[in-house]
Amino acid sequence: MAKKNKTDPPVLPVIELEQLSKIYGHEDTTVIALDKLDLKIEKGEFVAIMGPSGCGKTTLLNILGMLDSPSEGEYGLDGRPVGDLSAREKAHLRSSRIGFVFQSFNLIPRMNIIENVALPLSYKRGFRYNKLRKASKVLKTFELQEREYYMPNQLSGGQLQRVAIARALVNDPSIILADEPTGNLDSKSSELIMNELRDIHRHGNTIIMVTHNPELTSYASRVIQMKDGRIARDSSRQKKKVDRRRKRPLSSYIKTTEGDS
Amino acid sequence: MQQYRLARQSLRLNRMRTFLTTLGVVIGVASITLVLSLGQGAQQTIGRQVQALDNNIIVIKPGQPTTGFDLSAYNPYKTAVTSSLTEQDLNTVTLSEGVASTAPIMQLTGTVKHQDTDIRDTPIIATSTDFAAIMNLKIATGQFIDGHTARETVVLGQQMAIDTFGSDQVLGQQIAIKGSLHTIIGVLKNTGSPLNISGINLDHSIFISLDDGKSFNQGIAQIQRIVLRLKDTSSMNASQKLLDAAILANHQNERDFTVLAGSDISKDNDSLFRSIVLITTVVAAVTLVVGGVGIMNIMLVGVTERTREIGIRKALGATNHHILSQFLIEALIMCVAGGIVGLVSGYSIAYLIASGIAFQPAVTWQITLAGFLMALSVGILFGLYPAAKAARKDPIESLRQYQ
Repeated sequence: MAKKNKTDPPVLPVIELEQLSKIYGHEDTTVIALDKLDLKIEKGEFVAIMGPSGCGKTTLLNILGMLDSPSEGEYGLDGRPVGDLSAREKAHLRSSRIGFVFQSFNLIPRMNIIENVALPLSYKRGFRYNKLRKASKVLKTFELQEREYYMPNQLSGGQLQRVAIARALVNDPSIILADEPTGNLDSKSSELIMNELRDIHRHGNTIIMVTHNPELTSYASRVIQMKDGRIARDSSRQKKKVDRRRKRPLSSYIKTTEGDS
Repeated sequence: MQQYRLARQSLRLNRMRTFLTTLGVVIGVASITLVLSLGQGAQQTIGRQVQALDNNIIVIKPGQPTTGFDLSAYNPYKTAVTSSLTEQDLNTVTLSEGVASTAPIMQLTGTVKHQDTDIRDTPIIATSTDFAAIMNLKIATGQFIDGHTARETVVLGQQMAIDTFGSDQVLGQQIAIKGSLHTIIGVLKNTGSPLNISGINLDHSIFISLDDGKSFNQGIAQIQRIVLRLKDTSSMNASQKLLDAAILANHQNERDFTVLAGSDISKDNDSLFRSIVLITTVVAAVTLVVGGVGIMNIMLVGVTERTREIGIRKALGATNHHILSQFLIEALIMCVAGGIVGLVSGYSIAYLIASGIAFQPAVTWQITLAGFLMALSVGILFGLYPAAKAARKDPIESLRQYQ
């Protein structure tokens, strides 16, 4: 048994949501942002979440990033339930396991580029010199090393977003959460940024990206379509279903399809 | 450390704002330091004067002994009230066992003129020869008044001589006291201590003999104080009791006088200063509180301005504690820096003021620590609320700001 585990370790999903709901407001003015969502995201996936405004995709991203907590249901990150964690532990997890990329870059304007990139590290132990060196190393991979001591207002939008992605990567996170990363960029810069994200994905990083733009889904390995707080379509689930159908005996297949319809 | 760097960075970015906010604390701490420094300086001066008198001085004054602080003790009319001390008391004291020397202090009010110029605010003290020895007064030129000198002679305090004649070489010159001309026979050396056991500035006084004084007062001695030096310090308490009993007998058992020894001599002045210092310190502390409110105000503005930054930081892993300390340290830096500048300028102003008057302001670690701690507590007190407000901000709401 143990031997088997060694050779074929069970792949734990990075993110596991179970019957997750988020309800805003009180009593008769409630808005259901997320409605009993089930979702598993495995390591190395590049998930694009699509959907119209107000479908709950940003809420989902906020919950995944532990900036918001669900009203009901379970959220597991790296196999650990997040619901029981204190605010401090959540903050600690954010600084060590999650990288954020925002639509509006969200760099701190009064800090220079390298300080901005080192920001997630500043809430961890260690010497400032080492942190800056690490930030510098990450910036180098984005070919922004010579811009280290520029201020954010001296850089173009595309450069700023690359800085923001560098910042998201600096703490070696398990997942990168990107909220409309190309929303404020022209098409040329968008392409550059998407290529960066694809490269990061190829290096084995898990990326969850919220976007309006259907073109960008071509970069993703999995596309989730959301509607009214539910998952309307999931490209991987369909694939898996097909796999399951092949393996399952005919009787169960009939039952399932009956249930589905 | 990280938070300290951040706080300094944001303070530097708003130089003018930081400067003006800190100024409130600077003024507050400076005024507290100034008041405490001058007040304690004055108290030390009085204390030193008493100590300088070898601790074997006893002072007898009219009136009942006061317990604690009594403002009526400083009633300006009180000097005009007839003193209960008489020449008989003076004789009794002089003849008492253990007493080395005795001198009366009869303070007169009246005009003093040099040629046709009025000399203002000069106490006229009628006393005896031993006064100089008891009070440790040194002669600069000439001699002190004594039994052999004629009536119309006067001894000047050095400062008084210089102020009036422009020099202390004034032997043989004449001044008019209450209309009668007196020849100057001596000038004292400056004591350098403006406040004395009897509340008189000796450097600024003129001294005449008791007989002379009596002649200005229809032949009656109005003795405000009797000062005496004991032969032996060890018999201080016994002598005090002995004198008390002797004078009580003179006064038909009416306790209308007080025999003071040791540190009690300066107690009246001490407690007056203490209460003045206390009141002015409270006023100065109010200034500091106003400075603190200024800090709180600016901190709140800063928190609102930087809501988005707070959101970003929280998203990137800052705990509430990190945000709280970042803002609290910002307030503390302003207060501590303001406190240090305030202490330095407070002491400087104290020295500046003291150069006009004759005592040294006190520079003690107690005052320094008090000023510093007050600045620190103002920083914590008024920085905590804005910092807590910043720490409690919801990251999602904060990130949405200006979007």
